[in-house]
Amino acid sequence: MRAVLIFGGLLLLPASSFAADGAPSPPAFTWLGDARGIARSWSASRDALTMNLTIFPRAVQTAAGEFAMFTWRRPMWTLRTGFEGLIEVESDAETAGANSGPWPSGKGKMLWRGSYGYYAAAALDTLGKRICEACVLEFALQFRHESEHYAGSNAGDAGEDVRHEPYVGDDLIFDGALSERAVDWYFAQRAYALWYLPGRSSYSAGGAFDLHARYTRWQLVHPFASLYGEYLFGTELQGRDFPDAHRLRGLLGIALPSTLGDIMVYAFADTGNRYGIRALTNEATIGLGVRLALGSHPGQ
Amino acid sequence: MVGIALGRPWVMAFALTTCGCIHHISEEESTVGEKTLDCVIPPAAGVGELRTPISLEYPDSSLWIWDSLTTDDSTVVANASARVPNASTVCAAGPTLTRDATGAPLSLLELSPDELADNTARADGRQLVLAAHGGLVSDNVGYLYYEHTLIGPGVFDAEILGTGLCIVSDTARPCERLEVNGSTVLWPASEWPKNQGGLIDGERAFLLGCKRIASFDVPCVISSVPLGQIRDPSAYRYFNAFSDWVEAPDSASVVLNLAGTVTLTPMDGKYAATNLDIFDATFRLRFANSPTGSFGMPIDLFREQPPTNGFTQGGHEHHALRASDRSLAFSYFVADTGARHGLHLINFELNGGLE
Repeated sequence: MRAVLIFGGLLLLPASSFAADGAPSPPAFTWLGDARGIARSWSASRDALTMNLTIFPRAVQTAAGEFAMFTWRRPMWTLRTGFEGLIEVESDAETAGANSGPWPSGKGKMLWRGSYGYYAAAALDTLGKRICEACVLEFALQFRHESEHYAGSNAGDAGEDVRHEPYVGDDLIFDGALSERAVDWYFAQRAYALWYLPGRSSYSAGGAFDLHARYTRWQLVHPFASLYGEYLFGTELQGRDFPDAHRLRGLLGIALPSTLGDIMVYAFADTGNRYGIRALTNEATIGLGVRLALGSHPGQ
Repeated sequence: MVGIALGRPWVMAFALTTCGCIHHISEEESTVGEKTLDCVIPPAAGVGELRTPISLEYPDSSLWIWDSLTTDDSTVVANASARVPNASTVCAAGPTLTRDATGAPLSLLELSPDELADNTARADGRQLVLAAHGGLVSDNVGYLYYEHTLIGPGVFDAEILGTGLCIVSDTARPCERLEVNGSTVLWPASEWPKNQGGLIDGERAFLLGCKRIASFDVPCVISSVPLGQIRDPSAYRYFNAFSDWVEAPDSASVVLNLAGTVTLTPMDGKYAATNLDIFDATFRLRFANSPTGSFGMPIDLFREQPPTNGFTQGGHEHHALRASDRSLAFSYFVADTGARHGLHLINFELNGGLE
């Protein structure tokens, strides 16, 4: 009953208020909003929760998003909690043509992987401003599940046993992020610690980092660069010893910002393990992609 | 002009990325276990190159049998054999061939004097040959199943007459070919062969037989017989998934259909069928809870060097040469020239808890 009263009290808080400098401050409590205080949509990771199309060297289509179910702002901190989901379809072979549309296409199997997760993120607003006036500091804890698959042939080809390939499974991810602005530049960094549930993944633990820099002087175009790296420690799962995996991926391109988010057009280079049911393969690629990153872009 | 000048770097960058490229770096090794041995077996003394053998698996050794060996004086010996006590010995010194009183390699499975005389007398260019196909061992007696085939006159001409059974009581002497009603063809060609080895489970023998009915269509069935009646061809029955055991060959259930060598073998308290995929030189394993199947999804064990021409050869599993209860021992032949050319013996240790 007490919890209900507290929750009801939150809903009855004023819809908006004014900060000490007179500028309107956002509501203390809102439903459905930006997922994080420091966006992740600029990440160079293939797991970035955006609408993404990689055209070369392989066609990779990603439909993903993350949303804060509610945002609760307090004087010293802001809590956001919500969920995320991703589905990614990848042509196993290189882009060799265009489907109707046009849309890039390649021969071979259609690989796909899907993930969902739940998270709670706390932006330490006061502490962030102690670091610098335009700084944001945020920590988050997330549960994430990912599984890997491939699409069967409509022609009834024989199936492929992929139990020997790594299985991401279930993990808990703790991350800490810091963003800052310096004149016309915006920088963001995030570090991740990953712990995989025993018996639920072919990895045991791992670490990752995300770096982002963008030039925000122009209203309509933000040149940007992002770099993502991860190292995952392999473990035994169902009698199979899985090796470590590592990935390093960089993006270089332009973001076209709006109030809804960014359109990002970029070239990328990556090296390390592939994703999904081809994760035992180690390769290096360069290519081209485009992304719709919903959510407030960090330059705003 | 200004537009062109500004455009050039972007055009170049676009061109660099739109030709998007993939540089393959490496492929991880097997996740289900690791090779603990991989050797090229030295040739036996006095003979030329060793090709892939079939085998009978004794409790203490593997009896390897080659369909033909060429001696240094160019004599071709059919069905020569060697008792291989363990993997390390044969990897270090090669197989020790069983020899007759003259010192020549012994033919474990040999034509009778009448068959030799018939071959000599034939004027149609055809010759009867016996090809050993493996079998099983019970109470230290080997039961070697073999095929009677008329070959010639053309290189690819072959007529299979049927399957016989040869009793190996002493590996130092030719085996005893069983006769029923005056014929050593105990099962005619219309029956299923017993050519992929077998195992004993309780009081029954189980044999895997595969028949090539098209280029890459090789269905396999299980035949079985009580051990006490193993010398009686009429006591053999085929496994049928609905009726258990049936007599009619066309009622046998197909338990596997694989191009490449298959071996039915006991494994870690279960039953297994190993297979060398001739197309990509990958060894695979399928577990079953009974000798008759159902055999599960294939588990990729490891991949070998695919030949530049043709298909990978051999791939029999020799359970007497396993390094441990959780390992598998395979022989196979690399035809390509180079350091890996020759007959290989591989021990592959499986991880525990494999599903």
